[in-house]
Amino acid sequence: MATEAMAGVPSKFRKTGTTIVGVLFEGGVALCSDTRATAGNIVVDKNCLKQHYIADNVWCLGAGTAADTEAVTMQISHELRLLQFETGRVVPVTAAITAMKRHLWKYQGHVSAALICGGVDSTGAHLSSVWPHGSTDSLPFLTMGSGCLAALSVLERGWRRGLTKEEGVSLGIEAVKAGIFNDMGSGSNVDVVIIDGEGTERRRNTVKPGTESRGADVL
Amino acid sequence: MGDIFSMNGSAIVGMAGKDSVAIATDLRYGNSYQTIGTNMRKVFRLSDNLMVALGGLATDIQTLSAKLRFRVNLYELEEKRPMSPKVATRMLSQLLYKHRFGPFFVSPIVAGLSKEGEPWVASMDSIGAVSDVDAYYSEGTAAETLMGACETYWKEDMTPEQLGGTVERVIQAGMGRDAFSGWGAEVWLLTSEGLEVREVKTRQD
Repeated sequence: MATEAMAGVPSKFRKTGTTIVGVLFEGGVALCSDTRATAGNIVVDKNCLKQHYIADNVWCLGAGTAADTEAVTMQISHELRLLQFETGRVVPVTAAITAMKRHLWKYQGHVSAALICGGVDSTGAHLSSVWPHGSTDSLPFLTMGSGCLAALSVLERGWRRGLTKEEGVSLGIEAVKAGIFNDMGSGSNVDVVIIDGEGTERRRNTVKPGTESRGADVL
Repeated sequence: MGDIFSMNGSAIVGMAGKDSVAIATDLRYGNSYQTIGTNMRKVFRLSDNLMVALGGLATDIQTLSAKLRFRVNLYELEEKRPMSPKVATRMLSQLLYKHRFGPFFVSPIVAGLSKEGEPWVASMDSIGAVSDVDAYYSEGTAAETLMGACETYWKEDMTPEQLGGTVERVIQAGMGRDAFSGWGAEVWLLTSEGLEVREVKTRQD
């Protein structure tokens, strides 16, 4: 997304320059992100967390203005907790996505949060992206943020139906690594959340590609 | 720069050491290239173990510090316990995000010691995006140069004496390369023993 690079005016707000990736695999979903936060050309945080808790079975990755991604996901998380108390059931992923798109639509794109939301509920594994204006895409692999072009090329080549959990996770990691190396807005480490029927697994800083020298593993 | 953030000029840095935290700020109050005052305080002690430094637009620094003091005082009266630096960070963050579409033009650093004596430093942008993973943060017009000085001077587990000396060197070096901040500085060093405030002699240009 070109918002931060436009007109050459560095924003004073903190952005998560960002490569975020979601991959559906057999029976679950993997969400992978980089850990760089920028303000203009300054790296303000070398190891920030872009994973946001929505519910035990739903997690979200955020790109765009950091304060907005944090505020939106927190608000939706609270909303969903209330829904869970009311219904007494595991919240459906679509409820989270609908709540997010309604919030973002209401603000007509001024709340600049680009989100990838994934989770597992009684109807299976789901993966959606939510754009700052409130539109959504539901696809088996997704990427957002300034590193999305680099990441998408990896996903287009590597994704196929029936990926195993570890295949899905490593494809996601490779896509984020493409963003880390080829997009200046993304950098440092890779964080992963994996949600499947068994539960949720989080892998913080699972690889640190920024500390390796560029070798054959990248090419 | 015609940017509203850099109209008055400021240099603030917060750093954590072993069982201690320190904040250093400049004292200049300017209007672009013109210096108006040389005694503008930018650190505020909101509780025994809690300091907040605000960089950015002077009017918002003063308004926000008053709002913060009010909120911390009310919290401590109601709860009958001091506000932890973590809670203060969250509170300031939500106060800033409340003004998402007409923000206070400030860049805050929160520093303090928890009940257990754990040091805490965090910084955020003007709409409350918090960063709290590092041991040092810099804000204001000198943020870039201060960050460079922090990267080289900071060491793990500094004693309070070392920490005080380090932030002093950082503010001297970082401020010296920023045209809009300077004209004196002060170091606020917080340990379990209490707070020590020290004025620092700097270049007067």
